[in-house]
Amino acid sequence: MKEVLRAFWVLLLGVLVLVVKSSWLADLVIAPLDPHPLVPMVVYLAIAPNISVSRGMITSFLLGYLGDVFQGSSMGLETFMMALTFIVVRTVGARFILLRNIVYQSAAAGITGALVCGGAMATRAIFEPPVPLELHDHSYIASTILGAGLATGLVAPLLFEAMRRIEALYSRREEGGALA
Amino acid sequence: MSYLRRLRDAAISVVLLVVPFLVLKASLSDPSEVGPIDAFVLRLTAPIQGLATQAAGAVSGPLEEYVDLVDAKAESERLARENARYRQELRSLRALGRENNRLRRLLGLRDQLGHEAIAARVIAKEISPEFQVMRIVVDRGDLDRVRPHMPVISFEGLVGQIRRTRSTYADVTLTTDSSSAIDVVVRRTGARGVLRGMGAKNRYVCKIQYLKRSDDVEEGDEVYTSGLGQRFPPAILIGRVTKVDKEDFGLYQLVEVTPAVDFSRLEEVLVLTSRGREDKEGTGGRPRE
Repeated sequence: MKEVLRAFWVLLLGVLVLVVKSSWLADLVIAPLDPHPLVPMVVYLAIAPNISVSRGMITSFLLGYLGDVFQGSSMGLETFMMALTFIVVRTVGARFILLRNIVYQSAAAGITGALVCGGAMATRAIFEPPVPLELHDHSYIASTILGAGLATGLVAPLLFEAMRRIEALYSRREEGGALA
Repeated sequence: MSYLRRLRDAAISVVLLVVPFLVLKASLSDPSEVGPIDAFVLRLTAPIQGLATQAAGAVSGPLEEYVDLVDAKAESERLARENARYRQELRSLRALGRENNRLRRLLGLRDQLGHEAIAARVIAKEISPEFQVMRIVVDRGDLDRVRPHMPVISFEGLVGQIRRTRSTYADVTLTTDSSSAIDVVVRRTGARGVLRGMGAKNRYVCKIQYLKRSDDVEEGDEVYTSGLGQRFPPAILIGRVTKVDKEDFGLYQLVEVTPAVDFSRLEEVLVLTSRGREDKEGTGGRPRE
């Protein structure tokens, strides 16, 4: 039950960041510094020691699906990318990052954000000819990927902290209950 | 247990990777090239997509409306500030326009009179307890060659005369002041008299003295300077007759005149520093048409 509740709060946070990004941040985002707010959340799910693979995978899948839905696209790209991101980060075994400082966490999220952005562009290029993106423009591709990575890295500490608090919420209750 | 758990995790991971991959492939494919598997996937996911989109709209709609409202409030405040600034600018422009108009009329009057004159700004007003202007101060004085007894006019008519001067300013005695005496002529009939201020503290009013009972004067008649005595140039409007009182006895009638100049709104005046060309040419006291 606690797992479900945690997943619920994570998904609610996902909805919140997606809405904030599409409303408030829409006017503030300066291209190509376009953050991918779900990436830090998925990275956290992948590297947090107390989150099982199945819960992390399902939550990542649902977060990706929320991303697709809130971006008005059909299920697929975001869902696939978030599920894949979870698996890759989990497999790479970057759990040690959580033990380091905020710079490492931001760097991990930023690099993942850049990879997700590049992966999404590549996936669209593969599945959606003619390509609606300017893939022949290398500087455009580079600036988009680097911008997404940098912006994602910048927002990552905030989202890591939110995720950590969601996880800690129920841990404290458990501890409190045990002590009682 | 550990093996089963790992198997479960692997199965979930594969399913959750394969499903979106298939949907992604189906939805991004060219519609003309959608195969049977893609079509099946799309048919299967279409209702879910519809429900999810509706749910997302229900969640994000109110939030986005709230954000829009916040933006609208900020926009409204910005527009209100902008509006206030524009209103202030409009008021300033209107005031400048009025001032420009007055100055143009003053310039026109000066050209019409043919006098040497200098423009002066009213810098102070002595107000009676009944809020009537009793005396004014203008920003021209000795340094500007302003001297006592010089006539002071506005585009509305005669204001009065310089009473005393200082280096940079001068006091002006208004036509309504009890110490003011001006030789005047009633324009319609040419009847002459001496206009004296009544010094009333609650209204602007003068009286014409020495106006014969036989002279034809009616309320509404315009009263001008006659030019006699050469203190004031002729044909400057002073005001209009507002009361005529012919007693059954005596040589003269009592006539009250309300000045044409609104002293309370007076802001710019002309100080006539020389005799005009008409005086020099000897036009006498004929009112100007």
